[in-house]
Amino acid sequence: MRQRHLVVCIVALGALAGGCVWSVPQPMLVREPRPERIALRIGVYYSPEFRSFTYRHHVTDTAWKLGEPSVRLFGEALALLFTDVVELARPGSNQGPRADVAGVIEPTIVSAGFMFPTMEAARRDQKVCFPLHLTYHFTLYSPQGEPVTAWDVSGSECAPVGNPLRTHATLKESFEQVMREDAFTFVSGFRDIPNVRRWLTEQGID
Amino acid sequence: MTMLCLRIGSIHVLMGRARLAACEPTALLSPRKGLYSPGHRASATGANGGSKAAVQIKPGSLALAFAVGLLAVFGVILAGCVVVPAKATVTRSGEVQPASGGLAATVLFSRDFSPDTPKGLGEDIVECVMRGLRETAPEVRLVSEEDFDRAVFGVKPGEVLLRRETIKPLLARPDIRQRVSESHLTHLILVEGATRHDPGGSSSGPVTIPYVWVGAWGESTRRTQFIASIVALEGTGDIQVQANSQGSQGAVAGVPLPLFVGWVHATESASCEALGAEVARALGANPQGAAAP
Repeated sequence: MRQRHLVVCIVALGALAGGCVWSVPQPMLVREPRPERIALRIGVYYSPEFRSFTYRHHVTDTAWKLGEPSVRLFGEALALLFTDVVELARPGSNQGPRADVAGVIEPTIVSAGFMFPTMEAARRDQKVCFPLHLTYHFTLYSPQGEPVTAWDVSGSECAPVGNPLRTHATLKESFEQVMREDAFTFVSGFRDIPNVRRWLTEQGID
Repeated sequence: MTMLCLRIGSIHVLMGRARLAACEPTALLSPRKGLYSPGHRASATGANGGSKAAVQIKPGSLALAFAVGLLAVFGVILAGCVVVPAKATVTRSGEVQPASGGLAATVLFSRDFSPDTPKGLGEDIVECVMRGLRETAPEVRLVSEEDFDRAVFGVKPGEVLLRRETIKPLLARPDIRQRVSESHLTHLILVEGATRHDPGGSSSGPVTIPYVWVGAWGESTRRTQFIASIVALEGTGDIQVQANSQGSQGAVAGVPLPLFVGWVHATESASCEALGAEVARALGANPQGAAAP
């Protein structure tokens, strides 16, 4: 029995040392304040790279699966923003003419990561926090596969670490918070992008 | 269990065999009265008994006495972190308007509202306020975050953005006003807080007694501020309650003699109690107790 426990411990330690520590943030979608819903049918394409995007932090040997929860998050965000959303199997640029959608949105993750707190920042800000960021890139295609516009949504934060033993949990919560913020910015700022506004006008949306 | 408290900047090392769980702010939230020295039980050992007879000192007994004495010294010096009570001052920006149907409130910590407050501390401040309300104003009905979000916004926790600039427009929306009216909820209490360390206290670098001891000591000022923002859901006026507490903390550390001893003023604990009591006073519809004739 003792040997079994020992083996379990060794396997667990090996897994830790071998870079098997991975986390999947579970961000919530901000539903209030809610956006004015756009009465359009929109297509969305999640590339395999986006779905499987994983951020690895080599110093701590941890991996953060960000693509998988982003698919769920932006699926919910688009459903909040548009009356009808259809998930497509091919990229927006390679759809061929489609009459059943007003456009195709394709999200990607362009940058993600966190850094260790510096002594200087800790002294200056009077808090120990891990600067963390996550940037999404969105491309809107016309039904013909022409790019209409593209824009970035970037979020960052520096969540204070109260208890050092909660550092991993704090980082996970920070990723969740930044993803939540990014999704909210995407939803609330969608109509404010000039080319999107023009596209909406073309679709008969004020 | 060994306790360790390290702070970046000036020297702050607090260690000991304390069960008072650490110098981390949240650990000091539990209200305590009086001086607490976790290692006091270890300090009574090592008496020699005081025999009046002529004693022939054998090398063995000398070694034993030395060992016992050494253990006693270690017992004292490893006493660890002494937590000293602190006092808090409170301020309140106004009065809560009484509601005809009684008060019903939710106490929340939200990163949207207070991004600079660590989650653990925020949750502890929530508990401070709730404890204060339960003890001092039991007539105030407390509602969970889940019930509040469902009743007022029709969403789950985390699905509403409770930033300073979003709360008022949300509560002004007709559909949400209707929900508030139907739910009979009256207040939302949002908490935040932090402890700042001012290295203005005295500190020193290495102090040496050659061949015997190398050590250092440091001291800093702790300032704790806990805030509760009481939002009237029907727009009758919001108020803010602040509890501030100030104290000091310091430590002496040395090698090879493993001297790690320090003190800390329980500023979080004091602010916690004061905030809870003041929020309860602010909300208490009948502060003298509900047992009115």
